[in-house]
Amino acid sequence: MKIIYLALLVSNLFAANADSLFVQGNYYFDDEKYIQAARTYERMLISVEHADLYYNLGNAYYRMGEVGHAVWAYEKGLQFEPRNRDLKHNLDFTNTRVKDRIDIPEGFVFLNWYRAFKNSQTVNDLLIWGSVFLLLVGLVYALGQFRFLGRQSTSRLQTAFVIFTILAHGICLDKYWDVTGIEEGVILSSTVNVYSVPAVRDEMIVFKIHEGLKAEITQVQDNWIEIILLDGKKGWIPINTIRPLT
Amino acid sequence: MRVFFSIILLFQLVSGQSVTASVDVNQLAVNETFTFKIDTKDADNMPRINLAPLEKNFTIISGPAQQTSYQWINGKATSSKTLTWTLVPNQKGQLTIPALTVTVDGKKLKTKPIRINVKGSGQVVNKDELFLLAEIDQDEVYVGEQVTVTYKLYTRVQMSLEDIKYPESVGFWTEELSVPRPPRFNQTTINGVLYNVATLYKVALFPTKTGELELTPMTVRCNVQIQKKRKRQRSIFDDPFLNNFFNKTVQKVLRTESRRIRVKPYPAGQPANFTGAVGEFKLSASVDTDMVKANEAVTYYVELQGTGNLNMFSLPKLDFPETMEVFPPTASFEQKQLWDQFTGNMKWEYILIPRQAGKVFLPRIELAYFNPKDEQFHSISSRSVELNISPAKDQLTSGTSGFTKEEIALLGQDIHYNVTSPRSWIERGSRGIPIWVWTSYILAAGLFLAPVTFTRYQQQRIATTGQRMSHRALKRALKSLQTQSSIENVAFTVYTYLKERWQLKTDKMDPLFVEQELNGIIPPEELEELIQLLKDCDAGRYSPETMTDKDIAGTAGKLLKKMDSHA
Repeated sequence: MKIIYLALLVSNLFAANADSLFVQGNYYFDDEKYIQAARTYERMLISVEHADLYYNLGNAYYRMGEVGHAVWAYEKGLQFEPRNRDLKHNLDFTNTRVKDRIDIPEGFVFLNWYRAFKNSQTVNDLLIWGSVFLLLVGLVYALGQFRFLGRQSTSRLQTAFVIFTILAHGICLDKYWDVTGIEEGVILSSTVNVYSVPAVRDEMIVFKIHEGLKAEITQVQDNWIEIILLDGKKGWIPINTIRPLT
Repeated sequence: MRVFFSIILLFQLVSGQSVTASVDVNQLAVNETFTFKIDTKDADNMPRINLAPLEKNFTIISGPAQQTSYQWINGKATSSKTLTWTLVPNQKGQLTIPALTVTVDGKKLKTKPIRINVKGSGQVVNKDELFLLAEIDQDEVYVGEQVTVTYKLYTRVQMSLEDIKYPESVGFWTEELSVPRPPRFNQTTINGVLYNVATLYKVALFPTKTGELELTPMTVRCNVQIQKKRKRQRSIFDDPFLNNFFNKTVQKVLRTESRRIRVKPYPAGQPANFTGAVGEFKLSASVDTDMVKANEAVTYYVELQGTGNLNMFSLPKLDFPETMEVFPPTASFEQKQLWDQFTGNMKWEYILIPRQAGKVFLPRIELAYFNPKDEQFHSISSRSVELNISPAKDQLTSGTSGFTKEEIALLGQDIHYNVTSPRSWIERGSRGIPIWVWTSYILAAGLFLAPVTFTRYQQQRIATTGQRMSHRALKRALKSLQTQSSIENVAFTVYTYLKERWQLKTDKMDPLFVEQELNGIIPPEELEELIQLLKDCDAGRYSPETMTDKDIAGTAGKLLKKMDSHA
């Protein structure tokens, strides 16, 4: 009993602390003390998360000129609220300051649509979709059994909703695999040499990347990370030049 | 025709440095000027001199003028630094320039006094007849607020201006206001006396700092013609044309009195973008053409109209879209003539070359200013100008290539502002499947099960109807027997009871059928009794007289009660 009470108290304290830190961070931001603002937001991130917290953090980093960190924070915020317009705007805006421009190979139109849809939803969103469709299947079934609906319309509606349910859950699973399976990161250093081996060797530089670029992390080895860019280029970079989006 | 006359008073060679004071003449009239010189040898810095003792008998008209010279004599270099003033004696008589303390390179040296003989000339012009006045429109202003100073010459004598030394006041931004040149004389009367008045100089002063500021006096040297007293009243020489031959010209120096102006700081509430504009202004911005093509120049005009310290502040820096090349602006100023308040048009011309096609917003300009009339800060802004840039016929440059259309649309903007109110924070690691999902899964499962459950329920309900009826069968039968004890009713009641309680579903109920059905379910003696009863009832129905004495209803009741326990 005492322990539960204590736990409750601690969590309340956390919330209150987070609120006051947030207000303080915003105060620093308005005062143009962006470094302190970013530090305050980062401190909050130890215990709590929220899309808007990442948003403010990104803004602070942007004002500091830390494009890489800003992109990281916005991307992180979008993981929580993929349809947040402010986050999207600021990320797009910050991306105009990213030097690297990687052309994504043009895919099949429907595949692009599918990806766009998948990126606009979180796992939970998709789960909600799926569960709502399942609920509709159940509702139609029940209505049909009780003869509130005609036999024909019941079977049509039921088929449609079953397909939707399966689709939603399928996409959800795909998304879940994306989220858990693909690890991404954002480059923080202004210029990073990408080596073909996990070691500093001038002759092994494959290409160069710059601050703010998002890359997929494929392997981690000691102090080195293997990245793969959207256009398929691969190479090794030191671990401290990238901040993982997990 | 002045003879240079120099008196060397002091020649100190003790420490290398020496100071000499000298004057160019020592015999002069009250209104005549002379030059006072202080010469130091081998000094590293300009000497500092306290002239306060001088000012009792003399007035400084100009100076000090500084001069440094070097000389090589027999391979030895000597340097001299000279300070020169123009002085005028305040009174006649034997005047003395007192010994002055001169500080040279930290050392204090003293000059010797100089005696000057000032002759009192009988023809000195009276102070009432010729004077100079400085008129100030206000003596308490805010920083940057205009003070108009008008220097006027009042005269009742024939005179001509020889030299005007315009004042240069420290702590002010000075804008000259227009006055007729050469000065035009008008007539006014002061206390019934007729004067000729001319405005010599009019200036708008804008204080640049707070505190007590002093206006330096203006000095005017003029020649006054004084008629010689002649014995002959009328003569052929008394002719205006020949007057000059007989008139004497006297030089007179006029000075204004020094005036002080108190400069107040601004009241509280200064906006952040305040750059020092004081007055009243209007701001507008325009573009020379609406049809803009990429890589073709556009002129962006910013015009500031108004009254105030127009030259003293700058426009806030304009953030032009990054897709535009911006050349530094050319500024022009057009002052409205003949206005006492410094009024005019500031115009800036920016040459812009858009490098990308698309819609672009030229920044809106905001200017905060202080209006000393209502003692408040105001803010004005121009509208932001929208430019629709059509693509160039041939794209010459692609300096900022690699941008997509959306990115270009973003270029002229800024990031959106923060979220300010606290949120419902998600504790780290507590991201689970939301309760909605669980709820709707459970609800869906419920809906799937609902029809089956419902059918089952209904079947059970149907099944239990008979049971419920059978429970009440005995009660009803007994009640029926009590109310009516006729043979017909007893028979009907018993059959009904059997039907309800024992679920004997048939149309033809007779003792034989009952015996068949209930055999083995109820004890044989009770069955026998029941059959007997039913037979009696049948017999009684067809010959009612045989059964009249028997209490058939009573026996039926007892039997049914007994039977019921077996069901």
